[in-house]
Amino acid sequence: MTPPNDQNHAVEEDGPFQDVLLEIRGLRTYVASSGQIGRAVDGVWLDAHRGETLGIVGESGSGKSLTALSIMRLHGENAEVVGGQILYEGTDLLKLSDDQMRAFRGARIGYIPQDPMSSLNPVISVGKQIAEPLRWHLGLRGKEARARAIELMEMVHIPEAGTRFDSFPHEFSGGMRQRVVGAIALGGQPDLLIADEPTTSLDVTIQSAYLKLLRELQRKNNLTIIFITHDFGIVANLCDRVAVMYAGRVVEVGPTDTVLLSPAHPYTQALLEALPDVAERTQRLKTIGGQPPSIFRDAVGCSFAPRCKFRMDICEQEDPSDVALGSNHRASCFAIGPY
Amino acid sequence: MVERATPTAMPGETVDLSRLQERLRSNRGRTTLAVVVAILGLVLLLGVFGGALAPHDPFAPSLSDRLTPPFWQSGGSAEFPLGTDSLGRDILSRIMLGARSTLVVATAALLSGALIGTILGMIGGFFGGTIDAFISRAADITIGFPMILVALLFAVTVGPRPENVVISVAAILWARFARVIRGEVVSLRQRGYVESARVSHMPTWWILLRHILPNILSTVLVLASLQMGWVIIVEASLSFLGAGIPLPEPAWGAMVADGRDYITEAWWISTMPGVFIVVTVLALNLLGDWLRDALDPTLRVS
Amino acid sequence: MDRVLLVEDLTKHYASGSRGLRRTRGKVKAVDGLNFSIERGETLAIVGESGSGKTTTAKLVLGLESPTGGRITTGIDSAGGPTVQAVFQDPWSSLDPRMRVGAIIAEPLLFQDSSSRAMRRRRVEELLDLVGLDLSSTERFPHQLSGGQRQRVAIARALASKPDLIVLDEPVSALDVSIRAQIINLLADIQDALRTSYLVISHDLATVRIGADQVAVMYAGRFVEYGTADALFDDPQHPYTQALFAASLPARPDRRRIDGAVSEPDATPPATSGCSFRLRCPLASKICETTDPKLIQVDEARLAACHLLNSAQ
Repeated sequence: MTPPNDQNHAVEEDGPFQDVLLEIRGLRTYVASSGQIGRAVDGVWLDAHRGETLGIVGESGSGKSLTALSIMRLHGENAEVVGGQILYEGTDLLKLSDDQMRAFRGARIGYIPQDPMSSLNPVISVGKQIAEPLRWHLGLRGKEARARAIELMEMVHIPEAGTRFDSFPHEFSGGMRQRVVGAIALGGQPDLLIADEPTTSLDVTIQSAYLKLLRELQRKNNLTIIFITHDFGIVANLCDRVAVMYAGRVVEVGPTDTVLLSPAHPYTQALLEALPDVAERTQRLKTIGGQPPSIFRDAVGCSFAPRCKFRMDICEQEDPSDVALGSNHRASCFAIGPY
Repeated sequence: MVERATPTAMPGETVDLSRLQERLRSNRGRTTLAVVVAILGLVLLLGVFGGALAPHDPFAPSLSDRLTPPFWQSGGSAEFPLGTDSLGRDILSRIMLGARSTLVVATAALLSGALIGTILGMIGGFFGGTIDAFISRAADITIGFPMILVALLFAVTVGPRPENVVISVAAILWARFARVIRGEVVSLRQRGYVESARVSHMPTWWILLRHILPNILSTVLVLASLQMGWVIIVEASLSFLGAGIPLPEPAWGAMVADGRDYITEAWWISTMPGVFIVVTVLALNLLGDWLRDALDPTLRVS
Repeated sequence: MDRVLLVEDLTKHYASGSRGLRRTRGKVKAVDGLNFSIERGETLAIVGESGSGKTTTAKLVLGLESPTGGRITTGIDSAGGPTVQAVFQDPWSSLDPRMRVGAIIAEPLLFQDSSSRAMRRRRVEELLDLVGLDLSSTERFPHQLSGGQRQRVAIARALASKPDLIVLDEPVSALDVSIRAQIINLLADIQDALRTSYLVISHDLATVRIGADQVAVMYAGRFVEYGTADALFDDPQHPYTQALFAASLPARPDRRRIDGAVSEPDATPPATSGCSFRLRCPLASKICETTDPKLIQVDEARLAACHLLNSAQ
């Protein structure tokens, strides 16, 4: 697979976000399991531009979560980044020492994981947990830290922040807990926020509010957000650009409207066709036959080929190259002719 | 065992698989496991054939040979490799025979305790309500009891016999199993497949035997191997105190007691059986640890 | 009129003790007086968020819990038991990991008088074919199958005893998007072929759109709106139903709505006097504080429980 050319970084006429904050180049994160090596993230090239919300969408096994964890270098022991670079304002995060990376996390990059219950310490008050990164990264102590923590709680709209500073995680509802996690993530004033499916366990109305909050926080703090999800609805309503991942690679990336209204890659097209729509009463959905490939597979050619209705001989022999489709939109597929 | 897939790196790209490959190759304590199994196998062998294989008669005193040190010390000989005790009996032969009584009593105690505890735990966990409350309270009270004290009292009132050791150990051991199993069963009861079985009107005995039991078996196994060590120590302690397996059977604990008065001049009388106790219990604990690690992750979807 | 399920005044109360810091003493009314029925070959979808009582309703209909009040009437099979089966949400825990697929599917048939080993085997093969699984699956264990395949096994097993009604509790929420479509289509095909009725419990309006004939929206243990799917989807009347629709995000950028959506940062608990929804309702008025609205017919296609709709009648 040929990497994208400098199309993404070229000054483009209609993109509002020019400045690149994070560049992922050729990231490969492999996992060791049951005596084999699995290619969970297998060559990802992606950029996040300053001030934008970039969605990474994919099904389970696509490697989207592991990509986020690789950026944070929080993947577990069984996963290892075996190749590529992650450049944050030019610095390769993969080459930093553990101490340097620790300074980065929280101060430059914030992270919101999927399940708030497992990322909050049940025996420490919420306020103290929010104050912790303030101590680490901003050197605030005592009353100052408390005051700032309460400010953060108000910023995420936790009511009665002053009194709830001393409450414990189990005294909050799911939506509130996610807000606490958000406050912790933003304490160190990072420029980049990575949110890994933060609304999966929330009811729809609570999710709505949370996404609104993220938008507000982005505006107020000039954040760049990378939002990992499997839900195209969220992507349509929240993200400026979206990258679609399949079998460890980015198969299509571009402005949300473009990708959702005129998807170029067969996988994106098939996925969008398989979505039920509240507004239309259909009797049958179009499905994608087969299943995603195992990460332990031997890879020759395009990993979507076995399920693709546009499959050609070459698809099973070679990796598809990226095709530039104009205005920051690209997809890797042999069946797409250049525009 | 090494990786199958080759990465599709491009010219100029470097892919470094070395650390991953190393992780795959690591022994993960495979040598430890082999040693553990060897030790336990040996002990088992002694338990079954010990008496027959012993070089000397474990019961025959030979006052002329008394207090002979082990063969590597001056005064020792190859005839009595681990030395002799105050009556001139060969320590090694006594240890070999003693393995049997120790193992038989410990296994019987463990099996009874595990059986009773597992059944009660299953019943309490599955049916809930009053019967669960009753069993749980009983288990809580039992666990609080000082084991040795109870066994001693029992031995003093009824008389020291191997059967009594089994009874008193089982009477305390069941509670540990019951508590753990009850917890497991309570969570299993909520699983989709158990609810499915209930919806299909499968009889309760079927659900317990076909769905609950096989899924708690690995827990029972791990717990059993971890508790076995404890049971051996209890039995040895009881024998040491004279409340366990009575003379003339050479139980390991009793042998340690025998050597009490000779610690300074003939240390081997207490120490040799003591070493066997420690090594056996350690091996059992390691086996239990290994079993727990080996059986748990397979049940999780990665 | 061939009814497979009739539910009358169904109630389930739990005695809440002092468990949990915020629980008050007294009763928790998980299900509070439900009335509904399902005809043969029809699908009723109960939609609600967490805490609405929809899962409890499913358990009551399945007989996994006993009601505090009210009555559930289902068909009776040859063994004297109700002809209701279930498909649960989590494909990973709904199949016994220690049983092979063939045994799992055949299990409901084991204690039926007329079943023999050969008959059960044939039935299993029939069912595998019906759900689109390969015959070789019989010998496999659940962990060797994918999530979608496991759900197919669960469906096959549910069909084994030829039930009149299958209760599906969030049958596709735990599956990948591309697999959901396969399972939804499969369920529709089965219903066409066998005229099995479905009671689908879901929090996702879009999934429910596909097959539902009737839809009931549940809040705080009660139905707030209950009518034909077309009526509810084309023109939701109750404020809560409208809120749910407004909050479900379509994957169409041309129908963006996040900034206009009704949203709540926190799950406001239901009110204990008057209308339970009034604390979240933008249209709440005086009467909503004092009187509990009844579920009544507000137009020819639906029932709703809201004072504003009642007065508009």
